Amino acid sequence: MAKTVKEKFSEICCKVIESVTEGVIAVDLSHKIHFFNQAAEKVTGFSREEAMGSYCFDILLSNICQGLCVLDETLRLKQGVVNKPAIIINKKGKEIPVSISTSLLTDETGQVIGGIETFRDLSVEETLRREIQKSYTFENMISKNVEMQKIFSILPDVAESGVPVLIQGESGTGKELVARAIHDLSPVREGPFVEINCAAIPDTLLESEFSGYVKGAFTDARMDKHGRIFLADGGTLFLDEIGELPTPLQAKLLRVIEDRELTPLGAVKPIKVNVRFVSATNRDLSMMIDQGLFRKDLYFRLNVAKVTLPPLRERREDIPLLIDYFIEKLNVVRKKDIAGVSPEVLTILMHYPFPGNVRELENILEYAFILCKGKIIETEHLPKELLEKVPLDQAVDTRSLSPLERSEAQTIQELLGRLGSKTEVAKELGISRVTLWRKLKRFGLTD
Amino acid sequence: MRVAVPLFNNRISPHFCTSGEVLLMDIEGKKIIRQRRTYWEELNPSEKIGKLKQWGVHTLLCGGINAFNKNQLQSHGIEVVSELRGRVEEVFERWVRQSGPGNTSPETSPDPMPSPPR
Repeated sequence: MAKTVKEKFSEICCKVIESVTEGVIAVDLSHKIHFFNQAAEKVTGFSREEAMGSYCFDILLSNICQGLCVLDETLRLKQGVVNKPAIIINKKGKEIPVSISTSLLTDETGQVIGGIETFRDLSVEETLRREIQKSYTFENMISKNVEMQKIFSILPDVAESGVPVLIQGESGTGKELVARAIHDLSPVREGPFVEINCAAIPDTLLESEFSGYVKGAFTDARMDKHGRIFLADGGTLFLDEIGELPTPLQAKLLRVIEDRELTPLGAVKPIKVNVRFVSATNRDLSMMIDQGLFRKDLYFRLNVAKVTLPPLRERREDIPLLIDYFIEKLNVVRKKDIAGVSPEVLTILMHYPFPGNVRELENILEYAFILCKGKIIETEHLPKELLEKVPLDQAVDTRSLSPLERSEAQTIQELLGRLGSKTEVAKELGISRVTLWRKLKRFGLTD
Repeated sequence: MRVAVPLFNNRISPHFCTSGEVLLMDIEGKKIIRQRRTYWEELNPSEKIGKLKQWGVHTLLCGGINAFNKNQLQSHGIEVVSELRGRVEEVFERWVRQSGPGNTSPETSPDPMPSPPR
């Protein structure tokens, strides 16, 4: 018998649903599966035969099946759910991030007979995100900030040159990471990397730590001891917080750099050393020179190549990248499985000034990891002091905005904070004041 | 030996991490000699794993479980039988019949069952 138009359309509809890249399943009111397309087979790993007649929760194995079921919500509210994020476990035990949407399934009389669940595999997007993250990674550092990218591009040449490097930057900006990167990229990478924190060692011990001593040099010198400079022979000596080095020792260090030899305490003859010097400070050394606190000649010796690290508040675009990076790292260290931060937490962190820079961000996330029992870090997991410094009503509520708009709103707010005037912000963005005003209104950034 | 089954009402939970209740069973031969249901909704996955270890669980019968948690459990010496589905009693019977404790003699009696939830 010839097929009716209705039957033909029904067949076409089935073919269309079969061909879409989103997983589609249709379930009855008891959650039993009656339709399962090819994409659903691919995402879940279960065959159509295995899925048909099974309960949807036994096939989807998702983190929202128990208690947060979107189908139950749809049936209760008689309204579909759109793009609910969830994580399903496929047949091989692999977690797959998905976005689930639902709609009601009705018969010809309008009676609700079940629901349709569609789900999109987000792992491709997740892979892309990781690839992007990788492209912003240099040695152990991560940034997409223009200034940082410039630093990343010059570091291999600086490292190769073997000249002394001075790294300037606020506390927590990653000066030690840069020093390590310079060593790892240098011709002496197989040699030792020796670090000395000039602020952490008492003045009285600094000289013996630097130069070492020979037996009998002083009362307690019962045997020879090599200094850090000698230990770094053939490698790199990283002088952290060089601004704290006492003036008498500055002269001795200068001599070592110039003559490439050092005389341990109590020794008669100097020892030849071949050391690459990398120093770091969070202080303004040129100002210290003016105040007579730092030797000008030593400054010029150490500052052959200079790397200035911007504070985190001047590279806010890195905050989401760094959050992802630290979450991945902390998941391994703390043996947890946290997926990310909520939009509210991201908004708060994007508005915090971070006086302690990247290290402070890491500490905040470490704290949140202790309190967070679920998959997402929420506002209540953040330190109280942080919330006091960034009141929620001051942070833009970006939840209703698209990712692109969110990024736009954050950029505009950052520029407003930096430049102060709306005219300047409009000029910086290359848009008219009217367009800026419209955007401010749209993003809820008006006074 | 002690067997644990994360629950979803009277069925095996489809998702270990988000299961709200767990059934603990002490088994001798092929028979359940003692059992108790315990709420553990407020625990995160690593705390759940810690509890299973603390309770002396030998085998976990579950539905979906991610590879990370499965490895964690196995590293604590807990056998994981995953991808199971259905009503608890059916799943248990199937497991006993197919690959369960079999005729091996029971292991040393584990610690007492955890106290019922407050």
